[in-house]
Amino acid sequence: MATTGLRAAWARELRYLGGQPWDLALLLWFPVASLMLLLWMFSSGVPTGLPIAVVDQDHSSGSRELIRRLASTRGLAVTAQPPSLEAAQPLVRSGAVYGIVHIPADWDRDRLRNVSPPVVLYDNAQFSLAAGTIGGDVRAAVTSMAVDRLVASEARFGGGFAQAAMRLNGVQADLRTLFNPSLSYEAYFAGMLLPVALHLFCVIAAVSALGREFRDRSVDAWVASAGGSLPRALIGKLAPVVLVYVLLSLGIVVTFAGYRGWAPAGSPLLWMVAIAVLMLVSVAIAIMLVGLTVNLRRALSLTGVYVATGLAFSGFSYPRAAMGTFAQWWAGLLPYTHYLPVQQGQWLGGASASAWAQGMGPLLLFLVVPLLIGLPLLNRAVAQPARWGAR
Amino acid sequence: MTPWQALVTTVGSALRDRGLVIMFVAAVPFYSFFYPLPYATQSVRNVPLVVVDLDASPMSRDIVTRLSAVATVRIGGSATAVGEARDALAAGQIAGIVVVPENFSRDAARGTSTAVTVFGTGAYPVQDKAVLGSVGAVVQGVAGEVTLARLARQGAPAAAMLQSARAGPAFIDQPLYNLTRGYGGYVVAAVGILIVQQVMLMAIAALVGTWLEQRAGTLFGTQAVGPGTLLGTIAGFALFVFLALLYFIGFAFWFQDYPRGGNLAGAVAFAAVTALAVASLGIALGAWFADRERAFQVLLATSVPFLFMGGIVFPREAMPVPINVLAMLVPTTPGIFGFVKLNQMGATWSEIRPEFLNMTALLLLYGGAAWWAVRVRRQEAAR
Repeated sequence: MATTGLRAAWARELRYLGGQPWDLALLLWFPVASLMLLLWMFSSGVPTGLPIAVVDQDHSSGSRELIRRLASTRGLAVTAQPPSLEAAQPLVRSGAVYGIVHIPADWDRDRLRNVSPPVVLYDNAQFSLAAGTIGGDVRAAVTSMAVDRLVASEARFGGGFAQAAMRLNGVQADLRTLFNPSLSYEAYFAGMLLPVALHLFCVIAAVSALGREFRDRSVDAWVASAGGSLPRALIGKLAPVVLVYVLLSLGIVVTFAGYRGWAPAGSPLLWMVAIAVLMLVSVAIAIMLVGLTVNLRRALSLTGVYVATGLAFSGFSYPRAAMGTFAQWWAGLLPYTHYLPVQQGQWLGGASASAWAQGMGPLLLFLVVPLLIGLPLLNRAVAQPARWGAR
Repeated sequence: MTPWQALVTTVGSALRDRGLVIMFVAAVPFYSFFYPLPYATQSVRNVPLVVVDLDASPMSRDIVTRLSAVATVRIGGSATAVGEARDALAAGQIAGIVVVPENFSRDAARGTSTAVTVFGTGAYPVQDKAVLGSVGAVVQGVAGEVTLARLARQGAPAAAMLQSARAGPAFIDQPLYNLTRGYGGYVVAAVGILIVQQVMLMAIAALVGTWLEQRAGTLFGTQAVGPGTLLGTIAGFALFVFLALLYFIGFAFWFQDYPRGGNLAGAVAFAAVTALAVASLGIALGAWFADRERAFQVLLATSVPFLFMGGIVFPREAMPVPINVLAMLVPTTPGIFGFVKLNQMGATWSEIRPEFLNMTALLLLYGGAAWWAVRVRRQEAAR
């Protein structure tokens, strides 16, 4: 009896999806297309050839050498050499270049005298990532010339160039990026955005599947199809959603670790478990949202507030420790905040299984608590036909 | 219906729909406060580091003291070996590891090469850059003092040392816009425009879908629909979009003190074109969806792709050409670029020409699409 009820609810859901191309598209084709789009978007990995302008007012062999070094940097492309800063600024404002490198007059001569005015990069911090890339590359080019020059000058004290370089490098800051050392934005952006996009799609699909029964006042028929048992009706209805999204989420791991040919630093298996749990959490949240609202439109609006903004609060770019108190607290109430370090640990960091288990604890709470809130509310709403049909 | 009647009816219908009036009027102000919350602190601060001090000398303790004075980081603990802290870094519990090697102060005094090593994590690039940059600056400060002390011991002339101590930097990285390099100043300027588009598209498409379901409103009632009716309806919806845009670029940016007001007149003019384009797209989508809730289901998940397609977060130069072409079909692509250039960078009207042309083309395209979709739906209904 139990399985027949389940199977009947499952069959009823599949029949509905078969007759409603829109709902099928929302369940399956939109997420697949979005994931492929996001993956393609970041496929170049690291931005290269970002356009900059150089204003060379020195016209010396030194300044030309600097321009050559700038142009040979992978991240940069010198696309314009306007005569003055006044002529260069419109290029930034119109978006043609991300920054201006200014080499002042007599720079090379004064450099030899050790009194040189600085080379200035005017970048556009409104484009934070591009400005950061350019800043690092221009700094490297300018510093490489300065170091060559310093070594030559220090070498006057004897011992040759090698010793001069060693003396100059007495104390260094050795800056290293572990895990994703090339700062590949494919590994970073696509690695984070694909799961969060799928999480959002999964909540939308589950909210839609549940919410439309209330909207269409078809709750009776739905629960009756499962032999009058709400749990069985729920499982039968949501099983297609769970199945599709768990498979898609595992597909993400397979795409990164298999198709794209990267090796997760930790365990692909632990990552798969975590991302599958995130999908189950999404369904639990959907049950809570529909239980709270008993209204498809309102449940979707709440999905916008609670899930769609989750990325911003999760600390995926701007660290959570740097946020204000309220933002940190709200971030703690979002499942993606807790999923993220678990994934980054297995995907890029190579964190231990015990760190994984520690991270999974809070994530599992997001499976339990929304159900504890949602199921009783849903149970009550099913018994109150007067509340159905709200738009 | 005259255009004016259509406009009034549209505005009235939007304000009378008890479910959607919140979307038309209150959602943008709500998101304008809610979304920027994580970025309100503007720059990375307080991220925890673990120090592995293998030297345990006055000099290494001095480095730790100076680190604890940097706002970007805080000392979150110490370890006796890198291996102890590595798992915490991999699991994202700490943001970096600072290692002072054995015999560091002795080697520094002697002039033997030595280095303070800083490990950040590429799993969080923004945090990584902040950690490496701030710790690097502290170490370089110490290195400069050590070098000067060594030169003095070696008998360098005092005048030369004074000159080198006073020498300015060889390189300056100066932002032209977003002068504080605020993280919110960069994100919110772009996302604000996205928020307006997404909220308004959902509201408009949902209302048009409702009209279609109920055979009501200016477009799907019993009256004939001419170009004037459609224009009036577009203008009515555009009014809400326009006000929401003005609210963001006028009030929200000012109240939360983000960069703003570069070319206000230009921004207002561009907001008018943008509002008409978004309203037309909303009508076209609503007629296509033909359902009150569909717009929410479809558009909720598009925000993230739309934001990244816009080319502010991830540069256009790094994206495949077909994606950049596809992105030109979304109003936020010229919208975000155009508004950032006008509001934050003070661009002149001729400097946003590509965005203006793109937006105008979208207005014509989606105006035509709305006209066509409404006609098709009306013919279906008549049959």
